[in-house]
Amino acid sequence: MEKLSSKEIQNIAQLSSLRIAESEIEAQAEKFNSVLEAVAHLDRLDLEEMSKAQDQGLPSPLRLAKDHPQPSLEIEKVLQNSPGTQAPFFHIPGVLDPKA
Amino acid sequence: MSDLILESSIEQLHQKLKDKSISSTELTQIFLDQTKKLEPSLGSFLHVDEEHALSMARAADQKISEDGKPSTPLHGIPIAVKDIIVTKGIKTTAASQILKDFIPIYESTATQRLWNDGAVLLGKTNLDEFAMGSSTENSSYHVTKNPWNLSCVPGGSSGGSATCVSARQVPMSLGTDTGGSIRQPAALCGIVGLKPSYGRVSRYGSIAFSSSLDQIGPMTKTVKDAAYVLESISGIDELDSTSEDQNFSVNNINWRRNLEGVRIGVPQEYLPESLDASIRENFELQLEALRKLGAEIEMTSLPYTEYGLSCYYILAPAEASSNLARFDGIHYTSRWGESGGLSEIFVQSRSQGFGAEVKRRIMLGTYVLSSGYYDAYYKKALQVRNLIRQDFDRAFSSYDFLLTPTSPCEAFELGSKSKDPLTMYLSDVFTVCISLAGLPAVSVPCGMGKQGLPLGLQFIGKYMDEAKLLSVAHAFEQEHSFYQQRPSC
Repeated sequence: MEKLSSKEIQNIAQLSSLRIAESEIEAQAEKFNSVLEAVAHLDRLDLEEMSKAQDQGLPSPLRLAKDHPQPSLEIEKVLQNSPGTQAPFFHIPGVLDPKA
Repeated sequence: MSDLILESSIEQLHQKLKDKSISSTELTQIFLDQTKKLEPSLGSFLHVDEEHALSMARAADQKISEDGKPSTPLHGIPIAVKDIIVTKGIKTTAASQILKDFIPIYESTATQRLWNDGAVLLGKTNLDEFAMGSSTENSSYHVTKNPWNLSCVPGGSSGGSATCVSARQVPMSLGTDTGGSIRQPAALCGIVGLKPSYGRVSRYGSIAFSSSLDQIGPMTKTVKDAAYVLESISGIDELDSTSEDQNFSVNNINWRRNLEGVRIGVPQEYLPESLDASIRENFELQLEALRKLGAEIEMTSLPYTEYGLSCYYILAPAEASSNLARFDGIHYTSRWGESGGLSEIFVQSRSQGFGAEVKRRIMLGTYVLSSGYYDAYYKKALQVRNLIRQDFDRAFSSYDFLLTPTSPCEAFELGSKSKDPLTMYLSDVFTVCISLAGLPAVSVPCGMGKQGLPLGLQFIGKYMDEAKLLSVAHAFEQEHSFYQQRPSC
């Protein structure tokens, strides 16, 4: 199995909305590759045999909730844990103009 | 008196409350005092709210006084709750900086059922951040220490929930188990830890790590105590569509005194040649003890066991990468990077709010789900999960229960595995397959290893067969005094 480069690790971090500091990237890449190498153990399995084994998902099928209206959460409570609010909304910087 | 209370089982505490030889307020105070005494050395808790605990205890006393007796076996008895299970109005952090000031606006179903039954919340316990770890060293707040040896880990991720019961800071606690996070710390701290069948306990309000694996379960001194807690928290819940309509009642358990006619299989894959000699020796002693109780024991095989860890470390991070996407710096408590605009808030909040292990698992999950790698990793792991389930189905056509050591090692030194994720992941090698199969399993204390630290024996049952599982585990437990052993901390 080919090891992922530091650049590829940075790319995965970006896809995950994360940033890895330059000073940490090599150590992270090493640990990440060691985990990938370990899980590649599954490659040893016979693919033909595997194809017969479809995943059955959860032990029982999921139930559907009844489709009837429920009281909503109170806006103030929903906002209370947010670090930035402007009632009745979550406050975020402007997308086109971050200072807005 | 205090020591007698600290050592009492739930049944004994219930009796004392019933005959009014103690009040809930008095016994809660005894456990609070024990917590205050030991907390500086152990670090079991992230938050203890003494006033809140005492006010719940006073309310329990009031109800007992009105009704003339406790209304349930848990009425008036204190419990600790892993800090990944949300409690309305009480800080819940998942041991992460990204939730450092999070005050939930709703109650988890499991804890609501405990409060309905009159239990008293003593505090919220430490864990590996978002339940990702096997030593509780990944908490972003502090390290929890093993009460049997303060230089060792308590296991994880429910490490705080294990130490607080082991050190008699509470008589019972709730943990969560995704790949072994109840059973492994229970084994390393010398207590009982039950991972219920998937669907037995509602996951509503358990901050999601891996939704197809997570289960809330009890951690207690005895098997019967675990049964009482499970009775309270289990059952169908319209707020969790994966919860099952299966009744569990302690009254329906036929508590065995012997194991005549019980067929137990021992999967050979759980006794590899590389297994620590003292773990093997102890396990063989326990097999003899079970035979003496009348159990028929045979070796069997679960051939796909060797793929369990790989399968788990693809599926669990994949689900985590999706579940943890909600922590974006907008909705929950901690925000960094405001001046850089919206995308910078996402990136900086997540980069600074999550610890290294959580970030690694999110990235791993993102990678295995990404285009071009989905089939090679995620889809394949789903198929392997099914093969692992089929292994158990085959075994249970011949045996009533399966038996393994809970952990491949005793509690290890703090810091000894934290630098190498793979070595740490191996701590769960005997527990992950059971989680992948959705089966119930209980770890019961079974003596000491060569370092003088506790070991656990894992009984695995058929799906939704907790009543028989606990009955057999109880019969084993009562033959020994292991469950009465207490650390000297």
